[in-house]
Amino acid sequence: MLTVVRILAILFFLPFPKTAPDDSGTASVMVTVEDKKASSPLQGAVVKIPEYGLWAVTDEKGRAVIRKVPDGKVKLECSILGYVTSELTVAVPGPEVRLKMEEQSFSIEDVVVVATRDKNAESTISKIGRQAIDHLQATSVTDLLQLLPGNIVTSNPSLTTPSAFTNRTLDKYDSNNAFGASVMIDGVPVSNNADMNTKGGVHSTAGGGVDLRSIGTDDIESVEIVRGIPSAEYGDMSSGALIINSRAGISDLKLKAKIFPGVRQFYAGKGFKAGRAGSLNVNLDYADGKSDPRYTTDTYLRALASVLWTVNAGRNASFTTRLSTTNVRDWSGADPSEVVRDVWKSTRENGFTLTHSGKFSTPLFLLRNLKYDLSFSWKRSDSFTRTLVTGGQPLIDSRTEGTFEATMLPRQYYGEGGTIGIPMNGFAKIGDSFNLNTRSGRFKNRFNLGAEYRFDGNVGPGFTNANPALPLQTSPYRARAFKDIPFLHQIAAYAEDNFSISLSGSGEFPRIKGQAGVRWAMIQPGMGEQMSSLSPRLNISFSPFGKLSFRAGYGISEKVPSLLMLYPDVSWLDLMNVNASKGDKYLGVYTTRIFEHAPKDLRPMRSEKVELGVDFSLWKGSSFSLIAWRDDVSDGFSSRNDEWIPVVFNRWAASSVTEEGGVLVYDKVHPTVVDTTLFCNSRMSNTDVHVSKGVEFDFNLGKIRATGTSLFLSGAWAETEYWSSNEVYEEPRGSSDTYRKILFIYPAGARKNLNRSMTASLRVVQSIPAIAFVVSGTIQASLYNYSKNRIDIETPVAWQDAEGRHPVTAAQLADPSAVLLHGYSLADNIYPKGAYSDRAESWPSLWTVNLRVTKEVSRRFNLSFYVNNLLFSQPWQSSSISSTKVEKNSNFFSFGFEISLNL
Amino acid sequence: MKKSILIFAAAAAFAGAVVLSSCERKEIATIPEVTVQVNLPEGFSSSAVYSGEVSLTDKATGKVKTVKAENSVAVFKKVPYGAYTVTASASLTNEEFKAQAPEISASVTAGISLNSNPVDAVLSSNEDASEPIVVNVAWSIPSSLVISRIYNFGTLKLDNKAYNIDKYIEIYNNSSETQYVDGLYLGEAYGSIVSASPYANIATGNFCYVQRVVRIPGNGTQYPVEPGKSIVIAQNAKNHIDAEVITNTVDLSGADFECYVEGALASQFPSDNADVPNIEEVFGANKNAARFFGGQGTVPVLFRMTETLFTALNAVLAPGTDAYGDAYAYYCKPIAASDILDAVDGFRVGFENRGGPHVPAVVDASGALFNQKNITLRKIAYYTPDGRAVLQDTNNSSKDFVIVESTNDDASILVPRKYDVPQIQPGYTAE
Repeated sequence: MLTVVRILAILFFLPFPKTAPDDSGTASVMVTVEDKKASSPLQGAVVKIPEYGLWAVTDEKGRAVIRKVPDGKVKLECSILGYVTSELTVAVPGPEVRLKMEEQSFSIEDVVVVATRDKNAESTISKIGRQAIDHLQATSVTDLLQLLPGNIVTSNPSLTTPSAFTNRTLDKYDSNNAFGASVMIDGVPVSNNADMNTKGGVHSTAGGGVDLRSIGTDDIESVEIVRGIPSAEYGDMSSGALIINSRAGISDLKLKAKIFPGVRQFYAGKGFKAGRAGSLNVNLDYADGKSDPRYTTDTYLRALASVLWTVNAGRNASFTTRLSTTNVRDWSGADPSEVVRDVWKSTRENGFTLTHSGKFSTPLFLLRNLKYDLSFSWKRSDSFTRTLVTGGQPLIDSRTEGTFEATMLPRQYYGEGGTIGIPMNGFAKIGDSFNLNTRSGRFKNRFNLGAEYRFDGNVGPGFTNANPALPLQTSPYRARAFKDIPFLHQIAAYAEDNFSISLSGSGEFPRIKGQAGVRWAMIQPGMGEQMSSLSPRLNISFSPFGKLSFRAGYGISEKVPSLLMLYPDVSWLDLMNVNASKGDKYLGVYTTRIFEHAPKDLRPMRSEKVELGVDFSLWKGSSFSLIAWRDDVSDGFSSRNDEWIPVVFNRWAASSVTEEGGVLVYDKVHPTVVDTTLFCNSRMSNTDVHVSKGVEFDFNLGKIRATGTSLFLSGAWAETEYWSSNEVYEEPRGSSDTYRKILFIYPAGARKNLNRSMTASLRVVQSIPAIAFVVSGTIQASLYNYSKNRIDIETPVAWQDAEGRHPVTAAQLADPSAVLLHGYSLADNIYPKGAYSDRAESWPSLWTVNLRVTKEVSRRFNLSFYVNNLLFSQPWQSSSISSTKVEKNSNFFSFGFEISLNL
Repeated sequence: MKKSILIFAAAAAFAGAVVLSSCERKEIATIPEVTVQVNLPEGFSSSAVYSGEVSLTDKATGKVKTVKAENSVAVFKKVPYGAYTVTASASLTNEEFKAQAPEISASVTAGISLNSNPVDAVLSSNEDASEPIVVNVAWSIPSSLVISRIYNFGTLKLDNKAYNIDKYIEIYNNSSETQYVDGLYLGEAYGSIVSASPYANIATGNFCYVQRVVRIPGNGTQYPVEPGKSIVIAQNAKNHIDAEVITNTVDLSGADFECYVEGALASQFPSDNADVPNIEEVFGANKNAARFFGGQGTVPVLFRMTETLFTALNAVLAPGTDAYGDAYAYYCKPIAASDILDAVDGFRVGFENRGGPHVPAVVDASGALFNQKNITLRKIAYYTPDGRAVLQDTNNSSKDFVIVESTNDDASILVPRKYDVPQIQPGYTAE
């Protein structure tokens, strides 16, 4: 043990080197970081060489050293809380670098209030910094997404509607895209895999994405959005990743208040100095919202607290521990003036997340950058509803198979019930990176390896009715305890090479850069549900010279099913045998059948992404990025409907019910009808298909120095087509059978939806550093909005009855009117192509202007203001297939302000 | 001072003159004379003339001008410019019918009605009235069995939430002989009561398209209905009144038939009354179509035909419903006007001008009104000496029916078989 401590001490507390070069083609890079104005040393600044993944933290003298940096030119990046990230290229070996850091302020020349492309990453990543977040006056992370190419603002800031991160889809109901999006805070995923609260409450996010409302924005330093092919380091995701980096470091006490229509938010945060080389950031966030400020019918309240403790052990080891708590109250209910007042829906969430991360930068060849993350989160979600239920129906609630008597529910009653879920998630990861370069420096590699373990479980009691005799729902819903459901375990490993090949002798351009990796994952190892996946990912770029780069990418990402998908409840089938009333007497008898419901052949949802792009610069300060992409999710989560079970049951007509001794009785031996019905035992599967493609452009047109005006033009053309790979089962035309006897089967993909859109945003940012003032106007346009619902149910391929599935033969199709199946003519079930089955709908373009203003009144006092839909554009438009005019942007206008104090 | 008073008086006089002149009645542009030519149907002799009423309804204001035709011509004087609907409606006794149409009246023993389909006329200049407006009337025989009251929208509970499982339809024996309702079909005409039927020219056609059909069971003589008596077909044959939940409803436990369907939605058909026989569901235009009584404000069509004929009737595609070319299309059964005993076309209150006809004019020339919390009642034409109410049946529902609102304080209007409310008494004129 003592030896280990000694080694660590040697590794992380090495004295500052006296000479930079060493004898192996590498050298140490020595950096001194100072405040630009005060020229005082800055402790705790992180100095990085992203190309090699090397880093160091400055000591009390503002000095950092990165050892064993390969010879050549490298880009150095330095960041510290409250300062503008600084970048410069240095020669290795070379003299000591002195970095002057400029304090983050709206009085500096280059204020960045838009999303920028992460140039250090091979993947397509948009980065949004603190100043952009402040200028945008974001209340939740959702608000930040408007800065991405192709995204435009279409609604006012709101906290009463859940919102999840979706990436590159035009299907606004694409829950798989939201579920497949990874949200990470400080490298640790926020998991929604164990959310099982589907019943009761205001909204359910089970099976969908993480509700971003519960993440505050004021303790965030930056957000990265992975839109393209992610690094192999990121797993359990299929659509994209939202990476949130918290503010860490010493800072003033910051107080903020936002007042928007329907939203109030307050924040207090400070970064204390903790110990010799550490900091303790404390953040408190409170927000409440109403759907309409005039009413109290929909309210949302959020109280967040977090403590982030950062310890820099020497210059090459850093540890952070974060404890965050979440407290959310989401409520909707009747207005006090309503006749029925005491009805409501309520969701309460209380939880905490404890994370601990460590990273070490060592000179050892295979352990250049060693890191680990540990996380545990726990949450209790109470989703309850109280409503006035119209009863007067039989109560069906048996929990076992058999025949039971039903009681008649009261005509009307207050039903109350809901779900208590206690999801918990664990995460552990260890990663390492090291470099392997040729001596000439023309071929550079940074290998990135790691392994992960995650678990997701739910130990909540599940659904309960406050009074089982007066259930919340009249349709049968059986409760089950979540704690009986096994935990979901995942193990994963990844390996990735970030390489750079220079095709010239200078070690510079032409140059090929890339990131090639593979990720292996397995869920439920050793269990019956075990499944594994292999996800290769490649991003590669070719730069003939510094201002031009072509890039391409291909990658597969996989998202594991949630607990609900993997362990659904059994299927319940309730059939009424007797349902008779006579005067005020009632006799209800029903049969309950239970069917095993576990998924069959369920696989992780797989997304196959392809990207082609070009980046170039035409003049100083400009950058142009054009990306064509395709995202193919051919096996999204959805249930399959091809298992039909014939169920025989007895029915007694009401007329056969007699009264004996004051009660209704029936002849149990002689039913009126022995009936059969086909029951669809649907199972969770991979039948959802979403294929999206598009072209995104993101142009930074540069800054007009004379006026300080910057222009940014971004947008996207995109298309999403989606359908189910299930065959279509239809009851026969003219069927009046309540209990199905026959179904005609039409080919898979008979119903398809296609959406296309073209959007563009022109951002004009006017910065006046002299008065610390920034104003940005966004002209955004939905230029093209097209949708088509394609329905091709024409000729059945088969039919299903109690005996099974029967193909429709060519001979039958030759004379379909001669084919009678259970009394239904085949000819009647061959449908002509509809007049509108390929009819498309498109809308005229829609333009809006949004304004954001930030004024730094003094170093301690900031004021921001925003107006959405500044010109109050609410045009009446009609689509291409209807002359009815619809008011667009009807609720889209709002304004608000934010005050920020630094004490 | 005097001067001031004089000036004030002069100013007041001037102001008064201005006010008076501005109040002067402005002359509204009118057409001096509008002529309507009424053509009698085929089978009437060439000497026969139409002598019934002709009405001109202002589409904008709803005002109706009615004149009596002479020699098949009706003349309206001083008709303000506007858009109008022209209709003609008359009743002939059996003797008058036989005299005017000897070829077609031989087997008819009752009086008949003459009704036109509505004709649109835009009168915006004198030239528009240079030619007579031509209206064709069709004849129909008043039915022995008529739909006498329609409660097809449901009501509101005490908490102001909708309650719509208490619907019913009453069928009345309007003849002097016992009628049997065994095997009678009751259908719902295709289309919405807030818009025109998608079937073009349905008013001038001879078919009514039904989307849901039920049939009264029976062996032919199982369910007799005495003259002046009625049967009630209930969605749910139970007492819907519950003092704590809903009072603006009706006790239907004594209904003659119930529309319970095995396995149907428990919220719409909670239980089967063992004491009330079920009406049989025989046709649905689409698997997704609601059950009979499942919809609100539907147009009832009463018809009779053999089961074999009904089964053999090919359902036809409802216009526009094949938009998506799949199983969601609606296929309706065309019922010939000659098989229809009675139909009550209707519009939701407030949609009188937007809802077009849903049945041929020969079956019903105009529509009654339907609405939530309201019942639509057929008027009493007269009482026979033995006290039997004979209901008005001119196949012109806007005239034959009244709509009456029910309230939580007094829901007595909803009680079936109730013929003592003033609104449907002879001589009562609705506002």
